[in-house]
Amino acid sequence: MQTPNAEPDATPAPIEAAPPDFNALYREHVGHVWRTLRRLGVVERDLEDATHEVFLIVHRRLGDYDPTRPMRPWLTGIAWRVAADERRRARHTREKMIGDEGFSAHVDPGRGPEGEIARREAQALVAHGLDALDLDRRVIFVMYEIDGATGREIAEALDIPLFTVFSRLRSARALFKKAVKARRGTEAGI
Amino acid sequence: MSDRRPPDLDPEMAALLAAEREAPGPDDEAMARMHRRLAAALPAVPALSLDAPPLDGAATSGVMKGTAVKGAAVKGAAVKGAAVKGGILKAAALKGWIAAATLTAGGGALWALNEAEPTAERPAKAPVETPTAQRPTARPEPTPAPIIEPAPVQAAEQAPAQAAEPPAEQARPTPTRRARPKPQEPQILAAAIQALKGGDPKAALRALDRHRRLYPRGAQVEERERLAIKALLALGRVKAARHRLADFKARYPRALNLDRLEASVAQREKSAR
Repeated sequence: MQTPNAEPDATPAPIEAAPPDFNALYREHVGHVWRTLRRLGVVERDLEDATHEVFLIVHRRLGDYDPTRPMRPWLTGIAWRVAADERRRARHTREKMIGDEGFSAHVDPGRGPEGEIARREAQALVAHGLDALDLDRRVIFVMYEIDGATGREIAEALDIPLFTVFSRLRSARALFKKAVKARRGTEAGI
Repeated sequence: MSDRRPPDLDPEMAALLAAEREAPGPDDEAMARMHRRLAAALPAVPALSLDAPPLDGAATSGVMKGTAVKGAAVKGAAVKGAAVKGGILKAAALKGWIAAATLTAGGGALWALNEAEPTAERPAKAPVETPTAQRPTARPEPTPAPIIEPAPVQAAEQAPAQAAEPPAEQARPTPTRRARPKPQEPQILAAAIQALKGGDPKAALRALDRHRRLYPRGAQVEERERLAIKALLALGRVKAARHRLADFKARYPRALNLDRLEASVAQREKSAR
């Protein structure tokens, strides 16, 4: 399958060498931030708080953003740190980070019932697979496999070496696949 | 591309992840709540408006998509707001839609989030509350804002239907701005060089980013990247320049003057320490 990674240049960074307009940035990326936080394991009821937190940080750090770089990896880097804080806060409660039900809360009216069910099942499997990853692998997996960021963009956004990105990605893939297959086996009664 | 990409995922996993890519974003109520919270937390941000639809297509499900805050948002914000005891509700309808309703439960800061727009564009029946529907450019008065009757929901729900029919003024063909010809690659880069020489690295970066947008795979990408590193250095953004240089090296390991670029970055890093 062709992931969006193949064409990094096809999505040029937002213009504005000066810090981009926060209002436009918010409107464009709030959905991305929200979904990223959820994929990083922030529980449904904390998603709003975490999204809010991300954008407060974004607002504070907008001057640090290099406008010639794509915005999403930068935002995801911030979301990753916020998710790590959320995880630390949630740890003592031993709360399951993502419940399958968290993915089913919204219905896309443009999709038929069968399509909706298939989507939910797929999302539940993805959630299960993501749950098998620690946060450091998880964020790389999400950025690369779902968001379509390149290795270098991820390395820059997370401030880690490119080699680390790919080595974590490899192990994340293996863990993800194993978890998904195990889940499918359980559901099939194997 | 310089990334040593691992092989693609197997199709089964890839199909799963493709489904996840289509996952919906926050629902409308959550969206409206987040808007309000952020607007309250960042009063300095002008016009964090609720009326414009989010640009992120997949981000939202339902109402926030395209038609922005229509009926459901009216219910979510205006009606809900009116139900809060002691709360202050301010509702404004723009472009024929109820665009925003801000409320603070115990009084305090209150202002409309909407960008005021020319009334000519508003449908005649849309309730518009003018005196206090100010943009949050100025901090709100410490005195509690007057309690304003919530906009009638019925009227608000009618508004989208009216909005579907553009006002007569909008229907009339208006002279469109003539599209500017796309500048050539060398032209843009020349502007960047000129800006760099003139001591305006920000303008240079703007030009370079324009080049990136217009010519993502242009013939002079290497030159663009080289200039971008220089511009970042000139701005004192050494770390960004270092990242950019790493990318540049990976892409163009035999680039002319690569060693000079490296030396420049290293020198700036040294002096920055």
